[in-house]
Amino acid sequence: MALIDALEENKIRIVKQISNLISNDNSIILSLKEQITNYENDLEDKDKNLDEVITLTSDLEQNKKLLLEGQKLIADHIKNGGFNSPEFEQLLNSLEVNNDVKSFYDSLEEKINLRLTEINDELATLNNKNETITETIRRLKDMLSVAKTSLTSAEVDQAKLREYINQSRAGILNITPRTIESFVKKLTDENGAILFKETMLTTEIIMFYKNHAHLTKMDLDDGKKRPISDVIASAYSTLEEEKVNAEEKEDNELSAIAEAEEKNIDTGFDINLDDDFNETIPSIEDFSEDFMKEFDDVGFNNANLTPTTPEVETKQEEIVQELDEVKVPPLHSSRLAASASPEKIEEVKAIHEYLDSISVTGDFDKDHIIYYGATLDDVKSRMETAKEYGVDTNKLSTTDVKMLLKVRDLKEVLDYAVEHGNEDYMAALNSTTVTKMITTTLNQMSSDSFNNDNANKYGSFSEVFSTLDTINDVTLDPDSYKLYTETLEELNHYCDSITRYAYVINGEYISKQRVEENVKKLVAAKQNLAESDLLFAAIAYNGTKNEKDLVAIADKVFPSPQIGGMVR
Amino acid sequence: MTYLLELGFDQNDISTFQKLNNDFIIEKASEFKDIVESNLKSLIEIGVNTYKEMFLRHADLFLMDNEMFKAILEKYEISDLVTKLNRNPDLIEQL
Repeated sequence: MALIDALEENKIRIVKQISNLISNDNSIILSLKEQITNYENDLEDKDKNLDEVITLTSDLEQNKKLLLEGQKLIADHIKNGGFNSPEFEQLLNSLEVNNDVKSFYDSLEEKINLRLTEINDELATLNNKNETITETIRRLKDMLSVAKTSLTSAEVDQAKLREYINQSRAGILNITPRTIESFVKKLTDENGAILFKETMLTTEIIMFYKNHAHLTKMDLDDGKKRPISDVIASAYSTLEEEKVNAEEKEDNELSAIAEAEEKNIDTGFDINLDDDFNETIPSIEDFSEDFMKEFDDVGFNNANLTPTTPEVETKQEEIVQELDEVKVPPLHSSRLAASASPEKIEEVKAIHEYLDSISVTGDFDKDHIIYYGATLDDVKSRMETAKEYGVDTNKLSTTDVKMLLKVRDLKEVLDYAVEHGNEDYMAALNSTTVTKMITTTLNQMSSDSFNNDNANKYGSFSEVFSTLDTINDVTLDPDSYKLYTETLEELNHYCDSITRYAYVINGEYISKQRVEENVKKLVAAKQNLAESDLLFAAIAYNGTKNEKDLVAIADKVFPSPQIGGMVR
Repeated sequence: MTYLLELGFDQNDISTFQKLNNDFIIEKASEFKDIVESNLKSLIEIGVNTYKEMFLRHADLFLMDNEMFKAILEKYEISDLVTKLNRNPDLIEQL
């Protein structure tokens, strides 16, 4: 019984335990169920959230795209000046933005503008620095290149100089004036500055360019501005081409002539001097014909017309008055030309014809102003003077003629050119132009400001010079003529066919014409000077030499112990 | 020729001008002083400081009408031209 009771108790206890366990399990299950429900709810929420996130992401993407477009539009509109374009309005509408957003964008625009300005300033500064650095590098490169070229050139010149020195020592120096000129132009002082600036060379080249405009690539009158250096470069280039062409032509002609001589045939190189290379200029006669035709057209000159009415008479009187007042039309359009009288215009035409007849080259019209001041006699007499000083008047340009005309005292200028600074006047004449020579001389003369008052410079001769100042017409008696010719005969040893207009004594160039005139005046004035004094005075009067040179020159021709009271 | 005094010339310059130039140039430079004056001013305005030397040696060029004178200068780049003319006033003869 006790066992049954024990079993029963165990049974009850086990059932209790099982019940408790079941109860616990139920609680757990319920809890779990609740949790599951919660999870399910959460999941459902998450699903819902995911959809929202996806939608939001899509919206954001869309907004981002719109913002990027907006940013681009803002940048564009800042460049173009603002936010007033239809595109921007459209953008604002698409974003459904209100005025606050617009204000935000306005402020954004302002900030962006400010930043852009700063960026632009920084960029400009950097660009400037960059340009400065680039320019400095370029200049340094140029300087280096020039220095290298100069070094090479200096080495070549040095070698040439050594060669010339050796040739000179050996007595076989053979050097042309042009070579000397090109050599001299390269000489520099201790600071590297060019001693003999090639400024005149520049003018020569410009003149060459002008005279050969038909050959050069550029037209100075085409309205385009260009540096003179380009013009010079173009002229150089043409000059070189022309030289090559001329050399080739010369070679060909020489070959052809040699061949022709062998075969005894005509070479065909004759030049026809009758060719007319000048344009036809309307003449005064042409003008008169036109006028008379017009005159005939109104019937006044018709013998069959009898003036019967006051109107016809008035018309005729007007025409007669017009005919009386008619002037020869000016040849040129300048105010100076327009003020010229009919006689002067005729004279300008005559000057033109004369210059044509002696084959003066160049543009007559360009220098026309000078011819409205000068006379035909002026032109002819200046040409004669130029000839006396060795100028080849068959090779002149209109600019050269202008230079001959415009100087006050051509003889003085040419004397100055012979005696002052032109060691080899002949070479200067051959290698350059009259324009250049006279311009250079005028330059020297204006620099010297005519400080060669010889009456004061050579005190002991002041009385002699004051006498010469009063002599205009010179008449020589037989004794004076003898002294005159004897003196000139002595001097003739010092000039030859090459230096026919200059005496070259002790390396000094003296104008032959000036000295001859002075000798003539001195002997006519019966100054009774010793021969050396006579020569001293003749060279000194209106000359440019200093006393030391004059004494040496006079002593060379007429050796004597004393000259003009001055002890040597 | 006193009008030149107002353009920077002095009596010595005028005297040199009269010694260098032929009578007819001097006469025309007096007769057409307004032209000379305007041409000199054209050079001064662009910065040419060698205008006096130019006038002394090439006075005839200053008798050209001012329009033509300026047209000749305007063929070139002004800064380049001024540099060259200031270095070598005789270049005016060849422009």
